[in-house]
Amino acid sequence: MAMAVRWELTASALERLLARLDVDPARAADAYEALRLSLTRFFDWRGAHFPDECADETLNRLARRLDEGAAVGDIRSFALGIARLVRLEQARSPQVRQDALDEEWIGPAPPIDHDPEPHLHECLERCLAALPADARTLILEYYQDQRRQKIDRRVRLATELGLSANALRSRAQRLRDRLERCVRACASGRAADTKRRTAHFRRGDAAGDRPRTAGLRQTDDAP
Amino acid sequence: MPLDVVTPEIRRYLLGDLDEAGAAALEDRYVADPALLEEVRAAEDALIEAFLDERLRPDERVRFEAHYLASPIHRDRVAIARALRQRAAAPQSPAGRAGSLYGWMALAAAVVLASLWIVARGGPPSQQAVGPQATRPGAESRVPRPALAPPVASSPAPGPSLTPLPAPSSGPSAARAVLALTLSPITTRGGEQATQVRPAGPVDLVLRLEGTPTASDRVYDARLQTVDGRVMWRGRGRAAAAGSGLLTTVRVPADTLPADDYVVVIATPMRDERGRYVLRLRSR
Repeated sequence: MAMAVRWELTASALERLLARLDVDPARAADAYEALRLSLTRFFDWRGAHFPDECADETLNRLARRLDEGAAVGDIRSFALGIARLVRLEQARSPQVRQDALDEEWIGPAPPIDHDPEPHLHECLERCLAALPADARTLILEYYQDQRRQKIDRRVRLATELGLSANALRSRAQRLRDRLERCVRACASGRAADTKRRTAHFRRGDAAGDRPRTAGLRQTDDAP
Repeated sequence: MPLDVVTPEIRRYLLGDLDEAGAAALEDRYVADPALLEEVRAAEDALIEAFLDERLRPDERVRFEAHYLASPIHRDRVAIARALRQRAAAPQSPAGRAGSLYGWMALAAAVVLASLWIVARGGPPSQQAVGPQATRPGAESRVPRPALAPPVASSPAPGPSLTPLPAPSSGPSAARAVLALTLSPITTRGGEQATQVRPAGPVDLVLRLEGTPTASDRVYDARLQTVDGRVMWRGRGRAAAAGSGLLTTVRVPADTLPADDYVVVIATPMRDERGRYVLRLRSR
């Protein structure tokens, strides 16, 4: 039986990709990050379960195609084409379907003794504590108050920091993204044991030990 | 970004209401244009904030819940934004948290003590009553109006945790003592700690939680959690009548709870938090 060999990103393939993004190495690195961010957002807004992994998979395939000498016109459009394919594959992935089933099974109405966010606040505290003091102050100030008072506070905060409203928003978004990643990692780590035990009881087997991964496979059908 | 500045196209994209061709066209543009990507990201934040502020139009709220919140990542994002708001409303460092919390507890305990009364089961009231154990100077300013009647009997629609109390004169037939307390929400800090003592034996705490229900709220989920976040009890209460000064009333089996410091969290079934209250429980 033939087995598909997973292609690994090589240094030369990455260099080729960077060179296509910009001739200047520093600007190329920035362009790579910008492209990765836009792809992550694409997967995120399209409801992918693991946007970061999908974006990395897309960039790997893009690098591979360039390394193989494929004729690529606009590199960002080409990357988006690969991303759409990755998204379709991910949606068809048996793993993703199983995750959706798990979610449905667990159900939107938790039992009376089940805390829907058992680790959220604890993890948030830990992640906030890990931020530099000025960043922590900024994000908490940013999220203080509601409605009109919140808008006024943000205007005041931007003035104090010498930032435009957009720059303040971007900074707050970056901090929140960082917190999100940290909280998610913290909460999933803390929930893992509990979830495994719960899954074991519900299914009557050891399926709870199955790792939650997107289950993406390297294929040759990239555009 | 204010929600009304978000372009209808981006708004519909995020709510899954844009046709496939329109969505693909927008994606082509934002992948090529970092400024547009930022705009969509800002629009997403505006939608989340509008959702949390309950400012979305009804049709948009439905789409937000059905489409946007269908993604686990998005649910996490909204939950974290909500948690950040809650945390920002109580901006204390983790190290200082306990001390500040004790300050709130002192205030809440003062409220508890001032509004305490007991509806006794068998035996003389003096054996059931819980007397003040500590008071704090200045607590009077936070003391609500005195509770003059058993609170839940007049509650609009008792739920599972709202079993009507027996009237004070109902006699010794009831098996459990009932202790009714009025708690003010956590809004201010400071002061020393005080202690609430629980009587021995089976006792229910009827917690009258001050606040103002949002007009659209019908029921609330209540949870009693320790300071470190362990949920010890869950229940549900109906939104109190408008003008009552209460958010809701819940009944907690106090004898099943270990002596500890608790936070009562009230939220809608959609997890929009409505209030937090402090309850410090000690055994006699």
